[in-house]
This record gives sequence, structure tokens and C-alpha cells, in this order.
Amino acid sequence: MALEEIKDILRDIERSRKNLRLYPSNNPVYLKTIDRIYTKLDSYLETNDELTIKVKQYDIIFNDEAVYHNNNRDESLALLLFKDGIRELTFIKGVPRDEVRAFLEILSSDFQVEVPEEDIVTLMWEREFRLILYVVDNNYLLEDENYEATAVEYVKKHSAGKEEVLNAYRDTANLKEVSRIDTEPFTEEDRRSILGDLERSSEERLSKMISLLFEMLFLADNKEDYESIAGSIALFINYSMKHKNLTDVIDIINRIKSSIEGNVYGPEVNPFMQTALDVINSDKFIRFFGIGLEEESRWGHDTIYELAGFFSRSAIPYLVDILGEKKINPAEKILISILSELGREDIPFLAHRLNDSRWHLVRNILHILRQIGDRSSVKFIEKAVRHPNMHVKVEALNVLGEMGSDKNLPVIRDCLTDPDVVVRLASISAIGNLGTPDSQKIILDEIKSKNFHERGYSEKRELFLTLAKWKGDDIIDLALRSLRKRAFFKKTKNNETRAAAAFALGAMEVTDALDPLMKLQHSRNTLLQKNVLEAIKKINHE
Amino acid sequence: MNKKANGIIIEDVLKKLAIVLKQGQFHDVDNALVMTSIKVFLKLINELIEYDGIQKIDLIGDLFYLNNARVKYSSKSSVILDDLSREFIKRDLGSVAFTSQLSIDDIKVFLKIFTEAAYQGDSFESMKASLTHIEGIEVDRLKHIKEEEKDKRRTVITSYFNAVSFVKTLTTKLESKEKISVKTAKRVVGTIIDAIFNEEQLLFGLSAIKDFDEYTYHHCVNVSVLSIAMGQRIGLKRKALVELGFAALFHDIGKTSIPNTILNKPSDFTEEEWKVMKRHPYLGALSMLRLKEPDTSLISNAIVSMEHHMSSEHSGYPEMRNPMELDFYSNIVTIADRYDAMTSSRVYQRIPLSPDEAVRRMMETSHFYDPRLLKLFVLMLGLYPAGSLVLLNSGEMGIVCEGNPQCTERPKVSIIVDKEGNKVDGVTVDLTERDHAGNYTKNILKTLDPHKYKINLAEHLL
Repeated sequence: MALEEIKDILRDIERSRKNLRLYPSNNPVYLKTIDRIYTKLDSYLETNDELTIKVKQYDIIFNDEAVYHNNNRDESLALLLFKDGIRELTFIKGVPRDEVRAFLEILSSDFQVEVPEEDIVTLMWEREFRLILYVVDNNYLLEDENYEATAVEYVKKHSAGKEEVLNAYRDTANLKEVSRIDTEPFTEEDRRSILGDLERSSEERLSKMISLLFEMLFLADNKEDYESIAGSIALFINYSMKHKNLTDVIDIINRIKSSIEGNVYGPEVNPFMQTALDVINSDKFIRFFGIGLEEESRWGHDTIYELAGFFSRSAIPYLVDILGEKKINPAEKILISILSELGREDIPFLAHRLNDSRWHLVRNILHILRQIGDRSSVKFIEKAVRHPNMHVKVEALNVLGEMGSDKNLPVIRDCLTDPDVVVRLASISAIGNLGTPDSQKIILDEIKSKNFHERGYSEKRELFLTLAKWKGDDIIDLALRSLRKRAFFKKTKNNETRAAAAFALGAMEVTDALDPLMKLQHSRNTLLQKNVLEAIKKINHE
Repeated sequence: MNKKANGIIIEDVLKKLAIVLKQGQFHDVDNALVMTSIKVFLKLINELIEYDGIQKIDLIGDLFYLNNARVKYSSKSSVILDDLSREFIKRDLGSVAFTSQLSIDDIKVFLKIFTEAAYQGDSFESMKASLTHIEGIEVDRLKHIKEEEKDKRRTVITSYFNAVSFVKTLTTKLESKEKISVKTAKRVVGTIIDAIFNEEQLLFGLSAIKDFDEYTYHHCVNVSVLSIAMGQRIGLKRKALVELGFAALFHDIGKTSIPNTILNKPSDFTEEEWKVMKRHPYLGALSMLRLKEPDTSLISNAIVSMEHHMSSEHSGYPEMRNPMELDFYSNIVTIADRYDAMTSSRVYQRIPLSPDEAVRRMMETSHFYDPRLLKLFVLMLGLYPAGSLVLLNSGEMGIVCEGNPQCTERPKVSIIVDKEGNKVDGVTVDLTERDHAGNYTKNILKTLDPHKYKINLAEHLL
């Protein structure tokens, strides 16, 4: 019975490695996996007090019986423990859940990295388990197994013989007696101040290392060393950013810059320093920057923009990459703002990213291009008007309205028949913003067209309002005619048109329209009445 | 016999012995199968005895040792060797020594005695009594709880030598620009920390071994031992102790970049050579930086490497344009480094100071060190650190084997010459012992330089 229980526990431990790697630590599957093993182990220990298992290469043995075997090198729990030197494991009754959890988490760590710096033994040792004990064979790590025996033999062989010892004894007759030395006690105050220093040293170690790197450049005397040290400085820029120490990063950059400008280390070193500086434009650095931006409150805008001021054109692709990963958070706004400045240096690249499959990235790039305001990007933006996503279309129409010309009118006009009303409205607004005679004609034709009547009120109002910008007699006349027009059928639609016309007349402050407007101020159609009253107020400057 | 071949042969000896003993349990000793196994074993063991003298197999815990060297065996052999260890335990047998060339008959008798002993009341005693007739085979009882202490000390000794051996391998790898295993280094530091928790004074004593291998190998381990011991007294957590011990172990890594012609120069350095030597902290920091990507341990390693000769008042080297306060770990390693260097014979300081003299010198030049840490260090080692050679007012001469942090002038002393002037083999006296009147029974009267007489504490500890 006990054997079956142990086999079951070991099987579960083996399986747990997969689950613990796969799921985040707060996921129910993760927590259940730990709970299941803890419960089984606890139940076994309740009746058996302890569980001691011996670890062989592919087997686990309990009381001379194999309770586990797996010779699959990637999965074997036995091999995982054995290769790090663990030869025996003991779980003692009362082992807390936290210890079991930590133990399982250690087993599920990724030791498959190229150069592992930790192993199971070190991790278990650092945790100082109370009720999980283990026996380790440390000798297997060593390459010279006879070292100790040889050393012991050597020491014994070279030890003092009887004569040497007795010579020493004889010589004592000629020696002076020792004088008394007073030692000061190590006080509690000493301990406290030392611990204070320890804490300070730990906090300052990174910035100290950076300062030492700059000192080391004074000691370097060959190209290989310059390159190594500058390379390390670059690594520490990344390391500081990875640990979200933005002020350290800025400090290093400023030091590099002033060393180059002041030729502090000589012309031979400057190219290496420039290379170190360029690391801030790398994919890796900008990824760490992006992660840090998620918590931008810890940095403050001024510091972020100070760093952004150091980015060069080569950072643009990576900044765009992380912008593609951020959605509606402070980081997105900051990145747009940074790229709106930096992006000027590579508009073709930004324009190229308008082909990205992520609509939010395309919309953001359009926004950036709009902020930059360079007309050379218009030809790229035009394509975005045909983007399947509504948000992108609207943004593209807005940009074209601000930066485009009559050349773009056909594309914009096509959007007047878009199935989405938001796009149609953006299209009307864009045409109005262009403000050219051709665009005026398009609006006029649209209002005069047969289909106009069928458009919704918001579109009608937008079209009339847009037209009002030109304020010519023909436009006033068209608006007045529309206001007066009566209908027997489709009265609601007609009243929408009249309301939109009233709104436009108000916007143009046409005094001649007061009379017809007054007649309609008591209209039973509330939409019409509301627009009429507003128009009267505007004309009368109330 | 090369090392690898030797390893295989050692494993083979145990396997062949196990086969003989196993078959003897099921067949008569004259059975053809048993005879074949005996012959195979005999050929091997006699060759080894001829080549290497006495062959002693010890069982300690679960592990077999042959002539004090741990027997490593492949997984294929584990079943049969586990079985052998069970048979040893069943008979309370802790060791078998094959002391001279053996005959087939010797082994046949041994096998019979071994097999029958399993059914005797006191298996071991009956086996030992019967074996008195065979000249070339001696047995010893299995070590039990009372000897655990000894085993603990043995583990500490093994940890110390493992660490030195590791540093040696590490240095060779660094010199040939090979990758080193940080994982193994951390394990080594972990074992030193465990050893300090268990037998700190023994480790201090072992650090008196300075000349078995190159100075640097022992020095790195000794500095790590002393630094960890200080860190432990301050109350550092395990993780911080690893970080400190790791930095201490690597503090002199820069010396691997100094040409051997300078490093091992038998005469005094020229000014130019000193200049090169003084670059080793810088070269060490550079080597660390080239070793791996930045992380907390790399940072402390590089800082300690760079700062361990600067001294807290910046009178050391390398000179800094903008001097900074020394790092906490650097302050610790500086003290440990200076003490071990002063008490070691190096190429540029052939005559080392005695341990007590080194402590006095350090106290006289306390401005070079963090004063609080120096106080702690002196209290830790005592005014007469392990390895000091002392004459007591009783007329006895001895070697300090254990310091006394509570009373720095009163360590434990292992007596090597009695008051009549006879060489004796170490009873240990505690200098804090008092007589009926409350006076100390023994005091240190004079000190001598142990190096001058080649008197090394380590030989009494091993």
C-alpha cells in the first residue's frame, strides 16, 4: 500500500514540472497541482512519519524497492535529481505546504539554458528547507578525485620531524615574552552600522560598477580592452534598463556623451564609446524600455522624454514594434509622442508600417504622421483609406483632410458611400477641411443629389455645415430653399433636411433667413424646432 | 596508470570483490564459477598492491572509499555495489584492508569467514577473530554514531580540498580561455559555507596549508573561507554569503592574466614588474566582465576584484581618478586577503609572518582597513590564530588549534612538546581553564614562527 502511495506521489511530482512551467503561479491548475501533491504527501507522512527515497540515475528506490523508473532524459525525475548530485531525499511529517511548493517550483525551473548558473542543490540549499532533507554527493563535480588524498599525503610527508620540533623548543629560550595587546569589543553599535553599510552598498552597487567601468577606461591601454570595457558599458545600459533604472541609463548616456565631446579617453576610445551608446537604439534595449513604460508613473514624463531625446533614427523600427504591442495605456500615448518627434527622420519607414495587419498600430502610425504633418506622407496615407477597419479609415480621412489636396478627393469622395456612417461623416469633414472649390462642388452635388434625402440627420447636418464654410449666395439660397421645402410624404426625412439647413443658416448668420426661421419656431417637429431656435439665437447673437 | 584508467580499476576492484562475495553465498568456495571470480579479483588486487601498496576499502555512510579516495561508480555498477554495502552493514564491517600479496587460499578462507559471519551473533567480532590467521587481510568495524563527529570533520576537510582543486581547474580553464562553470563555483561556495557552519575552526586550521599546490589556489579558498566566516558573524543570509564567498573566491582572477615569468619570478620584482603586478585587480575586473552577462554576482565579483588592494583610505592600487568609498564586500575581502597573504610564502615575500604576528601588524596598520570589520576579524581569529606556535608558561610548546572569540588571548592549544622537552602527540589544552583560586592555569609566554620550523597545524588536523 505504502509503495503504491509513494509511486503515485512521485508520478505526480514528475507531471507537476510540466504544469508549473506552463501556467502562471496564480492559475488554478498551478495551484491544484501543488495542492494535490501536498495532500498526498501529507497523508502519507501522517501515518509514516517520514519518507526517505534514494536516487539512482534513472530510478528512485524506497526500502530497496524501485518506486520510480524513467530513462527518458528529458522527463526523468530521477535523472534530474541525480545529475545535480542528489542521492537521497527525505520528507518529514509536518512539512509545510510552502516548502512543498518551493520544492516543486525548484524542480520545475528551467535548467536547460546554455550555461546554467544554478542547480537544484544550490536552489534547495538557499531555501533552507526545514523538513525536506537531502543528501548530496559533491564529489561528482570534481575533475581530480585524488586531489585530497595527494594533498594529505604531501602535508604529512613535509611535516616537521622530531629534530625540527625540538629545535624550535630550544630556540624559545632566546625569545622575548609577548606583550599584552588590548582588543576592542565588537559592539552592537558596530554591528548596526555595518549592516547599514551593507544595505547601502547593495543599493549602490550597480551605479558603483558603472563608475568603475569609466575608471577602468583610464587604466586600459589597448584596443581590445577599450572594446571590452565599452562593450560592458553597453551591457550595463541594457541591464539598467532591464531593471528599470532609467536615471542610471541617462547618467551613463550623459557620461558617454561628455567623454566623447571632451575627448576624455582619447580618439582611440571614442568610436567604441559611440558603439556603446548605440545600444539604446537596439531591439533589446527598446523592449526593456517598453516593459518599463507599462509603469511609467515610476519614471515621470520628463525623465522619459529626456531619454527619448537620445534615440536615433535606428530606434524607430523597434519603437514601432513595441507600439504595436501596446493598446490604450499610458505607454501608447508616450510612444506616439516620441515617434511624432523622432519619426520625422524616417517617414518612408513609418509609411511602410501602414501595411501592418494590426489596425491599432496602423491607426497610431496615421496619428503620428498627422502629428508630423509632412505632406510627403500623403501618398502613403491615401492607401489607408481603403483599410477594412473603420477606425483606420476615419483616421486616414482626418489626416487627408488636414494634409491632402484635390488629388485625394476621389478617394475621399468614395467614402461618402461607405456603409459605415462614422466613415461617411469623416469623409464629409475631410472634404470640408480641404476647402477647395472642387471639394465645395462635391458637397453641393451631394446635397442636391437624389440620395441626399435618404441620409440620416447627422450626415445631412454635417454636409450643410461643411457647405456653410463657403457662405456664397448660391449656398444660402440652397439652404433657404431646403428650409422652406414642404413634403406630404416622408415628412420626417424632410424635416431632418430642413433642420440641417436651419443649422447651416444659423452657422452662416444669414439675417435674411430670420423670417422663414421665425415661422418655424413653433414647429411640432422637435428636431426642426430645436435647430430653428438655435439658428435664430446665432443670427441675433444672443 | 593514468587517472581515468585508475578510476575504472578502482571501480573494478569493488565490483570483482562484490561478485566473489555474492557467489560465495550461493556456492561452495571450490565451485568452478567461484574459483574463476576469485582468480579475476586476485589478479587485480595483487597488481594494485604491487603498484600502490596497501589497498584499504572503507564504507562510510553509503559510499565506498579506496585508500581514502571516494570510489565513483557508474550506474551499471550501482546495483551490485549497493548489494555489497548491504552485506558489509549486515556484518558490521566498516573496512577491509589488503595489506600484502594474496593467494587463492587466502581469498577462499576470507570468503568462507565472510559468508559464515552473517549467521554469527556478533558478526564482526567472529570475522575479526577468524581472520587473525590470514596475514594479508585486516578488517575494521563499521563506524557508528560516536564516530559521526569524525566524519563531519572529514567532510569539512574534503570540502576544503575540493574547493582548492576546483580553483586549480578554474585557473587552468581561465588561462586557456575556456568557459568556466558558474554553477559548480556556486556549489563549491555552498560547501564552504556549510563547512563554516559545522567546523569553522577546523577550516581556519586547514587554511594553514599553503604550499601543497600553487599559492593562488589555496589563497583564493582561504580568502573565501575567512570572508564567509566574517559575513556569517555579521549575520548575512545564505544568498549574501554565497555572493560574498563567490566574490572572494574570484578576487585574484586577474593574476591569471599576469605572465608566469613575473608571477613565479624567484627574485625581487623590478619597478616595471611591480607595475604589471599592480594591474591584476584591473585585469581581474576585466576578466569577470568578459565572463558573462551582468547580474548581481558579476557586479560584486568585478567590484571586489577591482577594489581588494585599494585600502579604505585609497592608498593602495589601482589609483582612481575619482575615488569612491569601498564596497562592503571589498572591505571584508581586503582584510581576509591581507591576512592570508601575510601568512603565506609568496614569490615576492618568501618569508611569511606567523599568524599572530600578522594579526599584530594588521592592528598596527588599522587605517588601511574598515576599523569595525578589523575588530570583528581579530575577535574571530583571536590574537593567536589557528596555526600559531606558542610556548606556554607551563614550559610546554604547542600549536594553536582553535581561536577563542570570547577571550582572544586564550585559544586552545595542541601540545607538541611537553614541559620536559619531549616531543609529544597533541593533547589539547584550553587556556581559559582556571585553577581552584580562579587563576588561569596556563598562559602564552612566547610565540615562534611556525614556518621557520616547518611546523604546520594542518598535519595535526588531517
